[in-house]
Amino acid sequence: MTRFLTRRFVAMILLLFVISFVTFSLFQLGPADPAAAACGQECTPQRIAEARVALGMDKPFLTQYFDYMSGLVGSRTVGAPGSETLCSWPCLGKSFQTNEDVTAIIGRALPYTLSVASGAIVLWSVVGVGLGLLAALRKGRFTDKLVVGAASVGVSLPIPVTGLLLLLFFVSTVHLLPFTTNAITSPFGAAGPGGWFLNYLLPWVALAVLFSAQYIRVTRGNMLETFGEDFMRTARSKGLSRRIIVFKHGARAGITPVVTMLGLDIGTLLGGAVLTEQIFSVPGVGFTAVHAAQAGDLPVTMAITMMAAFFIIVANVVVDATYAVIDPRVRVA
Amino acid sequence: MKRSTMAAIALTVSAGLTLTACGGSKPAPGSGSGPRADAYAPVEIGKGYTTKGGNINVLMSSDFQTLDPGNSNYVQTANVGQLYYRTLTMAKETAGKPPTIVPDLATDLGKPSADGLTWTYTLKKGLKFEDGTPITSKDIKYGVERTYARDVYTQAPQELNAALADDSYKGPYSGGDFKAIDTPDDRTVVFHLKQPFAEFPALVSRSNTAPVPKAEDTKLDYTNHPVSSGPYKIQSYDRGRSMKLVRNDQWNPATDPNRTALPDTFTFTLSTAQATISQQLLADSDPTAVTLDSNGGLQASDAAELNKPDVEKRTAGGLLGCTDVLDFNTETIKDPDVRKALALSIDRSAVQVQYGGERFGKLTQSYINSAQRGYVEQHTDLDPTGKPKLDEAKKLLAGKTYPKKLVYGYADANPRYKNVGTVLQQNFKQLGIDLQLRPIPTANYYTVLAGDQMPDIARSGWCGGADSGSVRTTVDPNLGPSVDGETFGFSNIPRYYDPKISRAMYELRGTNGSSEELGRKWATLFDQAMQSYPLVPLVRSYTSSVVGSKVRNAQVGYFFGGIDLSIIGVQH
Repeated sequence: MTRFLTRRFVAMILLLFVISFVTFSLFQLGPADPAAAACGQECTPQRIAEARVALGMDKPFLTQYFDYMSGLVGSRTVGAPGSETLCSWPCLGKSFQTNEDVTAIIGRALPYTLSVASGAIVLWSVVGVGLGLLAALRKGRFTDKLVVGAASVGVSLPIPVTGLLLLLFFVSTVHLLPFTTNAITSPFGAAGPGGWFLNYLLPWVALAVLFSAQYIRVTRGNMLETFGEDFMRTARSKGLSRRIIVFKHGARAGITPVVTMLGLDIGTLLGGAVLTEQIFSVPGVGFTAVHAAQAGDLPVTMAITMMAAFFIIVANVVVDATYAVIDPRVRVA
Repeated sequence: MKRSTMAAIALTVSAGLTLTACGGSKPAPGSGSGPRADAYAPVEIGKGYTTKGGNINVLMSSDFQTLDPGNSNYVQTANVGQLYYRTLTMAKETAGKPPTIVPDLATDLGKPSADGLTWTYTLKKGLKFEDGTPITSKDIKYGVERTYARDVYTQAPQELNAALADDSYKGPYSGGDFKAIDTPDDRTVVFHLKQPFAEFPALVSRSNTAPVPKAEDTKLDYTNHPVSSGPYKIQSYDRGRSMKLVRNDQWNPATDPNRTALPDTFTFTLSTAQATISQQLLADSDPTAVTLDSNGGLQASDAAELNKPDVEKRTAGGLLGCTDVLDFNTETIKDPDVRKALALSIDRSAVQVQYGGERFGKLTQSYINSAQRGYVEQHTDLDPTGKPKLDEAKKLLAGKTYPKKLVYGYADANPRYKNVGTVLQQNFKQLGIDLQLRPIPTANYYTVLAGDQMPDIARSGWCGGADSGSVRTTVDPNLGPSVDGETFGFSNIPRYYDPKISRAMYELRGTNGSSEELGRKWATLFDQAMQSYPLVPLVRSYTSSVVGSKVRNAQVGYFFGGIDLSIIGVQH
């Protein structure tokens, strides 16, 4: 098991290096020039050259890349000669737009993303698994058809549609919920748990509509498959109560693949729910990433890409490790 | 891994679809605009309010790029900057009109020498920074010096620097003493120019002349807390979230007739999506709110909302100094008759629709306008209502050899510009010309236009330059002057060159005289240049900005393009 985990850890580090190099190269080879963007229309070629020096873009590609990566192992200096500033470890560079430490920018955005992700995950897993289970138990009946039908609609509704409809109805039309505000980052702040809950309710619902629909379908399918297994027949023939058959024997087996799915979805979500954050104007990681990419802000975009990749890879490793614990055959695969 | 990859792809695809869909909304012609006596008259909300107190909440979709006056080249930041720094002179806004240049830290607009090569300013008495330290001429000089450190500050305004002698100076960190400014005593600042510049009082209204105490200069970190010389100071600045301005008790209102400083505080809410801002303002969910976002944070699709009585009475509006034009590359479309034919064939009213209809812009016949100093009447054969003159265009082309394929380049971030290309495509088809559309990354759009990659046709815009009341600061950068027909200024996108007209413009640059009389000469030369159609005037921006129901003295600044914060008040 230790060997398996060590192998996966080394692979994860290598993969992160590859991702960082590819992202860096794409920016360097891409058509947009951050120095020109910083300069604006009333700019001259001479000023663009000066801006390039100020942004450290005059150095060779590989030097820039290794300078950047050196910040992951220790502090480094950034800025034009004569005006260098120390960027303390872990240094992901300074924003081209605001000269702020990228770690500070991400540190500021992460609580928003965590707020959006945590509530949404709870909501969709409870609703998704619960309704999936219900549909499986009521197979072929009206409840089953209703839940499966709703799941089909939910899975085909993109976040921009549900998000905008929710905003339009609950905020703009009936004024039942407040506009989301960027002052609330956690349930322990000045607004309290109630304020936090109301602030993020709509983003959670928008995400939950999309995700729980998938969970309903997967849970229902797995449970139905499990109900047909021999051990379930055995449980029934032993005369166990329906509650014990379904929850103790059935759900444990049927929901395992759903747990795997959940692990991967959490990983993806922590990298930033781009659309949800855009629509509900939550200045989280996804929101920050879009603005940084539009402005050609390489250090911020790089850092967020690496972070998102990190979460997804970690989620994969965790899921694989869980599998390995459950099924020893995976360890030698 | 497979699932997460799929999810990532799905998210990316839907993100792309959303972004396209969001930007792609196209309103019906003139949508949302009811019959108004003058659709473009300025509208001010709660004019004449004088009660002090209360808080204004400024909603913004992004954080400030910088608050440092020495690194600020954005009208939005300049608008906020009026609250916490002062400059030698100031551009005082009047809705719908170019701003008036008035004295600010200086006692007057400056005294030029007889040859126009020296301008002298005297500071008012009793000026202090927020810590009580007196503001001296050395602080002004140091503020200007910093803007020369262009390897440190990428966004420093450069119009003033370009006019001063000693323009090879590298800034105070490595350049030593700056010879173009003398400070014979604590209240006198003397500027030495390369050549006369009638608009010099406007140049010193830019943020370059905001005083910066040398001891407090923390270079790029100065943006976190610039030392106030204005009526407010920064109490807190939480990057990406909020900023709070409170009264600066060292500010002496007797020295500052330009700022009413009515509210006790200003709160800036940063990083709220533009769509949310517009919804909040339309719904009046915060009666003390305003926005500085472009177009008042409104989307073209909000035009209909503006007609609702509750919203209409809370909507300030005004024409800006910003005009969009279509530039012809005169090096690839050489024949003036062909350029004129192309210009006449364009359905400019259809182009106006792509800008969001009349609520968002007025069709214009010229890059310059009658409110500018020294304006003289401009002549054009373009239809004032924007309709194409196809027959005339065809007549002009009869018997001529002209390119049958042209390329239109557009900045790829805004679908509006692509849609303009589609209109042109249809129009030029009537002349037998195939127009190809070429997207250009927005970040380096203007760099491409200034270089060898300039397409045959491109769109650009201008907001009046350093002095939006002056004809010169629009004409000079945009149509020349090229001295040799080989090299062009960065903003001379059409690469316009005419031996006589360009030479006359070049000589005019160094001529001494008042802005008014020189303006007449610039406007006359511009009219002559325009007869060969190097560019086609399209739409002049009109901004509607909805404010909260308790906001008073709200006007849309001609230069700022948003609510002018220097005079705003709030009922409380």
